[in-house]
Amino acid sequence: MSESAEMGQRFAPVLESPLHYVRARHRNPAAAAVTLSERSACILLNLRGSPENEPFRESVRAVLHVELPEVGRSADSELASIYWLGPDEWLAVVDQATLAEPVAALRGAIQGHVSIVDVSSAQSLLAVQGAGVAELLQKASVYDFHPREFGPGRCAQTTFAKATALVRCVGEEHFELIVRRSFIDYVARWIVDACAESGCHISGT
Amino acid sequence: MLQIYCPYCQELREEEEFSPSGEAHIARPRDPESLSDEQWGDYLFFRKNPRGLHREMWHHSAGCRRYFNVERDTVSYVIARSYPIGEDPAGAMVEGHDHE
Amino acid sequence: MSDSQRRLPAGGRLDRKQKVSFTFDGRPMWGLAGDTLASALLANGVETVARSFKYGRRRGIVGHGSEEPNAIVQLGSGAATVPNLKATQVELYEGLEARSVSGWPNLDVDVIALLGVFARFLPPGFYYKTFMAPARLWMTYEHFIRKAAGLGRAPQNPDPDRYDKINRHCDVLVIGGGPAGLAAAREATRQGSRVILVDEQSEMGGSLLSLGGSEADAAQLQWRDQTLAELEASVDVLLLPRSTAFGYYDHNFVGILERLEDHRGLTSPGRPRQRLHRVRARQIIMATGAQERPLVFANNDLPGVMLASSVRTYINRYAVIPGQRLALCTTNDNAYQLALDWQEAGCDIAVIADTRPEAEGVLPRLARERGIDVRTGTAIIEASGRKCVSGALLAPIHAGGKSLTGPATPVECDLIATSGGWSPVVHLSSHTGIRPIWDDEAIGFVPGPHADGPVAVGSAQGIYCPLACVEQARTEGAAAALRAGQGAGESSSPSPDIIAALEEPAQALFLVPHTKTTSRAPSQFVDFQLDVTAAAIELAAREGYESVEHVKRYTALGFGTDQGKLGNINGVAILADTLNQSIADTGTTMFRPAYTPVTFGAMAGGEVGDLFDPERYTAMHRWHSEQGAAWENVGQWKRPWYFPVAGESMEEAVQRECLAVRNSVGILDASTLGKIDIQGPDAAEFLTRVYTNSYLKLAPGKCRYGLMLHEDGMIFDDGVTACLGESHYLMHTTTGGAAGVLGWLELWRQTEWPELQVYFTSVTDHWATATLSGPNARKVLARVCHDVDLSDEAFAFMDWNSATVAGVPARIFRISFTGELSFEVNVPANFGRHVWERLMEAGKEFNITPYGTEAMHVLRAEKGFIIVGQDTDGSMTPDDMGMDWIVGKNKSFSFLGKRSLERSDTRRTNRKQLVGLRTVEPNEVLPEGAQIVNTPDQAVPMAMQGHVTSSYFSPSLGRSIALAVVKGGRNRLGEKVFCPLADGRNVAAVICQTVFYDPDGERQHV
Repeated sequence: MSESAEMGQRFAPVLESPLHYVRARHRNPAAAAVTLSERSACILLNLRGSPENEPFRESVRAVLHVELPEVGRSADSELASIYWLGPDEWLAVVDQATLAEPVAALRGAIQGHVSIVDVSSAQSLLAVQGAGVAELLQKASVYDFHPREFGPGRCAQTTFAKATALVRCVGEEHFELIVRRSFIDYVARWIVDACAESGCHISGT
Repeated sequence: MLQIYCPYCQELREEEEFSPSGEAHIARPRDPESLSDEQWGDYLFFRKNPRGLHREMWHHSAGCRRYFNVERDTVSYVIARSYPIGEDPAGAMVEGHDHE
Repeated sequence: MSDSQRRLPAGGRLDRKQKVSFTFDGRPMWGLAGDTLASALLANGVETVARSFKYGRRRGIVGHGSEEPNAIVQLGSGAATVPNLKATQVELYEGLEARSVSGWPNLDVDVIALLGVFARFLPPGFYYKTFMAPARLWMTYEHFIRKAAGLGRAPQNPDPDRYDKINRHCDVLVIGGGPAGLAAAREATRQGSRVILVDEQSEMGGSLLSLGGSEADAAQLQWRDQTLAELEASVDVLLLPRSTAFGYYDHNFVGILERLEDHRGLTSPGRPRQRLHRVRARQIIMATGAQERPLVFANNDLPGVMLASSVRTYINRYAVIPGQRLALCTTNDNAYQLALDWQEAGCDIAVIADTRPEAEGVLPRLARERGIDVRTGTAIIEASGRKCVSGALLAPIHAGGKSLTGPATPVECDLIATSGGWSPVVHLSSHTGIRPIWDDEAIGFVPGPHADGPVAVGSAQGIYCPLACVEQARTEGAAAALRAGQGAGESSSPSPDIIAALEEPAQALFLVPHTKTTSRAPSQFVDFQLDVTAAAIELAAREGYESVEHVKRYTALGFGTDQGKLGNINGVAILADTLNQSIADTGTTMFRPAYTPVTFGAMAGGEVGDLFDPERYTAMHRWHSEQGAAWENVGQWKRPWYFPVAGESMEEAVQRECLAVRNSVGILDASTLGKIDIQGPDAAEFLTRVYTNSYLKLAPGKCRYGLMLHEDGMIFDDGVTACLGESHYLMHTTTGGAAGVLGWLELWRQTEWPELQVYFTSVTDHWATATLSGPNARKVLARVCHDVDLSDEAFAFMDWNSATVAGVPARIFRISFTGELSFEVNVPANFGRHVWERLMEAGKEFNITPYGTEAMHVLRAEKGFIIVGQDTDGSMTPDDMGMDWIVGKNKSFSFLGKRSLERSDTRRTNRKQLVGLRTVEPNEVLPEGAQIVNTPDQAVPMAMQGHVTSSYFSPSLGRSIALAVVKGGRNRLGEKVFCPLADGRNVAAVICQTVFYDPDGERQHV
């Protein structure tokens, strides 16, 4: 057993996901038009590279089994979801159970001027679902999330209340919010307040 | 409240997502040390502030974090176009043309 | 008079089974569900509802909507009280308490009216002329004027209600739910557009809701019902009744205030009271309608003088007959409909005075057929009566409308209705600065041309015939949909689908001439709310005011809360006439948002209290909270300020924390520092361009402190950058500067140096940072970190190492902001609290002490370390801070700000320079910001030498210390200076070096 693994066992590190404390304090109402659930145990990677860098695209394809998505879109494979952030920037979300060391795998595969940064603790991934989702998004953001403009597979970084978020449409009445960790308490409180009439259920509480 | 087309996100977005970044097309002098104080002062401090068409830089700070340029009428606020840094649209833009 | 006498036995859009009781100025009354406060007051026979602003004259209800200038009321009392509402827009609810806001001490006995004999001393501009000097008395005057003029009372307590805010997007926004708006919205919907239809009334329909029982009227109402039903059934249509589009902003952005609960009561526990809709529309159709214009004649402000269309509305919509015997004065056919409906209601008509030489349209013929006394070429020139109308003076009027052609004759009546034609409601369309233009045919200002802006339909565009309105609105509805990307531009419904009587042209008449000149005739009011008369406008013109904007400000025309909705056009016309020029040449004043008042609550929405601004928390926030930390706001971050133990004052806590760091070990949450991951082959070159020093030779495993300058040479950020590996760096920024620095780096990479291969990624939120500082820091860390040699030989000052801390992969930086041996332990934030708690356990033996930002500030000040933004203020160069040592003068690239350091001003030797200050009295702690002078024995204003930037009591030194910037300070060590304080004392201090503690820096190298 390596020294670090030994230490790991001795200290049994306790992971606290960004939404940890909100979940602990929130009381779910009897009825709720919006459900929030946090996805944890993910590895988040910020990928930077030129979209013209074919070896870069190829190695992402090879390691994560998914194509780098085009402007304003996301793409999924059984290993990872990738979100477009900017013309040379993507966010990859990898399930820790399916691929434990994506950074090493990508670093090993990728050549040239690219940047791979582990930001696993930097964000909270929230699934937001329910009949009240459309109205919640309209209250929170200046972006137009109407299904005609923003269907499944679309993603956008925009304002959310007085913070920002990466929003993805998963399906009907089903969106994904990715919010910076330090803002998550504020954002969650804001959502609960905005859903005061219709109710907000936070799973895990 | 403006609505600005981000050439990278390729759609109109609300002004809240952007930060203004001043006049566009101000190139940093290649050799600052060779400039007189006055020339350096011009680069640092002096801006056109025209009445009419104006090329200005915006930062999509809450979106894709890219800088780009916008051609905006400072009277009507109509935005004629947005274009990426490095492009200099050849259109015959007469800066600050008279509105009367 | 009781309700029954004024309430018609049938008709109206009312629920007759539901009586609603309310009070007005304390008097109990009742109305019916469906009433407005105004219709209920009329039904109860209330004639005087206000006293006028300047002269205290009695005023009655004039209109029926947002144009109402007189019936201004305050609802309720206490925290939820609402001032300045128009009774015409207040829907009646059970228990409503309304008070008039004017009349002092009450409506019947008004002090200002008693002063009415002095009215001639209140000419236009009377504020300027009377109250400007002496200026210090203005407050006294204003107090009196406000109290007497009655502007309502603001609530004194926090608003008990919730408000809501929502963003909307649509293809076509239709403003106004009258016939034109309904037609346009339906057409756009049929083309597949996402449509929002907004109307300020409780129901959609606009003028259609005022229609009577004739066959044509019934057909129009049926058309309304069908159209509305179709819209309600459509998926992508949002109908917003009780909602006012109050502002039109750039790029088709519209603010709409929806009154969700106002019609149910004063407060709405559990439900949002109002909602602000922030609408971005691809296309906008202004179907804002037209406002009937009153005629201006002598004593036209007597209670009992009303707008013809308003009287018609009260009869048909509210089944209230506001008088017994009507005299109608009109310039057009349209007002005849009132006479017909009035007669239908079974009441007397004294006369219809039609100012036109002849009236042969369908409606005038019908009126004559019904035996109504129609007199053409005749006008009502004066109203008579003491408390309310008891008669009118009629006189024959010249076809040009400028003079009378015969003597006046009296007629008995108790209600005078007038119609001077219609003014298109152009307010919204002019909000972005597009001036309305005069249309001779419409006899009104119509919206000016917009490049990509809204299109006006119906009477808002000066098209008054309902048939033509609907026809044009349908065409524009389809066209707007096409521009928004739907349909083919062809309107779908067959034509015509509405019926209405055709009308003959109206006459352009505004001020009705009197037998006396305007200045000698009884007052002819133009703006009721601010008591502006025709004579006042003529006087203003004679005094040399020619621009309509100047006349507005001189006379106060249109300055009231009604924004002069009734008076503006009449005022412009009177001014034009006085100046002998056309109305088109005179122009109109501009309108600004808001069209009607908007509550602050709606603007704030839910973003009040602890949701006012984001609070950012570190991963250890809850731990700090559990320890009872006092908080400091740093940007949006909450940082522990100090950790008081039981009974401790702040001063005591900070002393204890400081001494713990100096004598044993402290622990600080430094997670909020900005962190930027930098990768790429040109990363070192890039860093060398944006920092004053060089990073080209910074080896992996090493850290370096840097200063960042703007191009003007002034410090704007600082921090330590570590080389993580080949072409891989981690930059630390100040807590408040993180976003700005990242934007700054991206700016230069994206715009000036795109050839440099380097990427930046913010990792601030990913890492939690626990800083161990103090002589025992190494011993503490060694207990939870076994895979790295922590000795000074292996892990030197300004080194960093990867390690495992409490079982978590970490980066440890040996950098120090306290001058003590320090290790900054960085772990992924998800494990932040875990590692923090293990470090606390490991430090127990050494009495490890958590310390906050205040102790951190004291410790760093003892060492003379600056805080950017506290010791600098955007006007400080590295040399000013005594940090010339960090400026790489020989770098091949002229780093950002370098050239500015050679400007004559930045090279001055008498610039303010950072120095230390020791007060002569060691226990005296100077206030930060205190100014510094050479001697207090000089005249005020004294010659300022600089100011104190940081000041604390140093527990380690047992005396006060301060940092300050002083002109030429570094050459003045040992000089005594003085700080004149606000309390009158002059505190003496001696200029000294900036490093107060461990000047040789030995303690951090152990």
